[in-house]
Amino acid sequence: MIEIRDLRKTFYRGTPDEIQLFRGFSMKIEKGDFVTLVGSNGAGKSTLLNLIAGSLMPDSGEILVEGRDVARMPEHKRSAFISRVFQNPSLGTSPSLTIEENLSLALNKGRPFGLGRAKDRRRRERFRERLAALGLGLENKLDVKVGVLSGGQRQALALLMATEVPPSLLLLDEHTAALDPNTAGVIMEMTRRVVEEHRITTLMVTHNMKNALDYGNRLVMLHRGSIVVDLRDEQKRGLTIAQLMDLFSRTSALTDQMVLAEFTQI
Amino acid sequence: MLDLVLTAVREGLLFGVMAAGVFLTFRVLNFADLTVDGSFALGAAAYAAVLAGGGTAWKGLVLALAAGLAAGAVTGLLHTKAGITGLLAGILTMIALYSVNLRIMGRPNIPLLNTRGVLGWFEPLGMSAEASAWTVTGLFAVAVWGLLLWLFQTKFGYLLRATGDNLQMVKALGVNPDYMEICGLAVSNGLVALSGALVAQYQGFADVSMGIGTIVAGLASVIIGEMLMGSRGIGWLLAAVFVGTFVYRLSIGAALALGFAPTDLKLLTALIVFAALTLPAIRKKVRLS
Repeated sequence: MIEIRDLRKTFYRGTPDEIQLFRGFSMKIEKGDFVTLVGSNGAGKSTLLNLIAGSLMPDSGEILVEGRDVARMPEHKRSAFISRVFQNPSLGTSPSLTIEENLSLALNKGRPFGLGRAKDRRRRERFRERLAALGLGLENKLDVKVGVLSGGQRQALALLMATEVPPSLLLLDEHTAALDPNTAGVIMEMTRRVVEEHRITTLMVTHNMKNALDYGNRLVMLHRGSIVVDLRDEQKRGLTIAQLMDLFSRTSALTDQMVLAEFTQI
Repeated sequence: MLDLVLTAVREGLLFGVMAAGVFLTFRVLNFADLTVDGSFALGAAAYAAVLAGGGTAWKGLVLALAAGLAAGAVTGLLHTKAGITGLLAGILTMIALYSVNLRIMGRPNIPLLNTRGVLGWFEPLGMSAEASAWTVTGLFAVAVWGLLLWLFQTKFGYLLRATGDNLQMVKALGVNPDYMEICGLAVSNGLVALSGALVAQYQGFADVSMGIGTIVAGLASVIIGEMLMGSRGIGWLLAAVFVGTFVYRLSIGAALALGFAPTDLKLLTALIVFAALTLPAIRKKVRLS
């Protein structure tokens, strides 16, 4: 379970541009939940992901991952149990290494990278099977450098690498936004499969309202650092794109309380 | 003519150890490390000081290696912990090393002509001085090639290569990328210092200014090697570094034979690197038009 308690984060403190983004933000994510996170620009989606992943440090507050407060742990230490896939496919893989070399690095995640031999014949077969399951033909390209792969192929590999050792929390940061619609669909389906297979607790930021509704069992809308919509299971399933878009456009005009009040009437 | 080639082969092997270090930072870590100018002379200084004090060549080499490792680590710390850009971090260490090297040697120059040193290791086995020097030189080059080839097959080696590509990925794997950079810079400068010690013995003296231009010569060797041999795996690339060093030394030797003054060589080296860096781009343009 992931629990965020009283998180505070201010940017440009003490200047005229000061932005108090999170003013006591709290949120609970149950084990196995797949949460889709939406909100307009500046709502705090990416900042929230950065705070959870450790690329930003909060001013105060707690981030509990399975009971352990990680709010002040350096990013690389959190990586042992928090995985992340970025919008930019290049950030998840190493272009001058081959697919097999990338995957064997991912398999060793969170453990020491010592002077033992990195390659292993038996693992090669396992990689081949995992890649074949993607249906992208990558299983025949184990010795190909990742730098020559397409963005979609790289993102598929990045997702595979992020889940090779199933993490306590998977963060997806608009991970299909840079891909063409067809490839984005393939990656989304692959995401669903991987998440379901390992029952990985997942938090996905997306600007695609359809994806936000189609995937996951919970939908959260952020507005200026607060949760303004939070729907689970049947509530989420009953929501249409039109209703969600309507909620979305109103959030920018209304105060947080008004949106919540409005929503309860739907 | 044969003499020219043989000299270039030998120097290619000796300086190739240095170029292998430059390859590690420049190509693998993607870090232009100017520490090299200081650490090359540092290795020579440490080695010469030990021999001048009556120590063994073995001890001199170990100390040269250790000093180089430390120098590289200092640049790494300046870059990662103090947040200084890579280029400037290297320059700072390089300049500091100039004073350090003078302290180590106690004077600007230590002659090594009266000692067989490391190159004479096989003379007690009945080899001639010439044969022993060739054998030792060859062994060191092969050992460094083999060691790096092995290193790049390990988990650590994979991660080192990923570090030059994608720091975010290193973090995602649970490792502090600062640590990888410091380690890479240390190993690189350790090799450079080792090469400095071997070259000092080969030329018969250690001099405080012998490191000037080392980085440019190293870059020239790495780039020439790549141009001539292409890329067919990491073992091939490492061998290409030695071939590139040989070609570079050969062109330097040829320039001298053609009547250029030794003082013109730095300009020539800069021109070679310039040509090597721009040729691929020019070739592409010509093909496009």
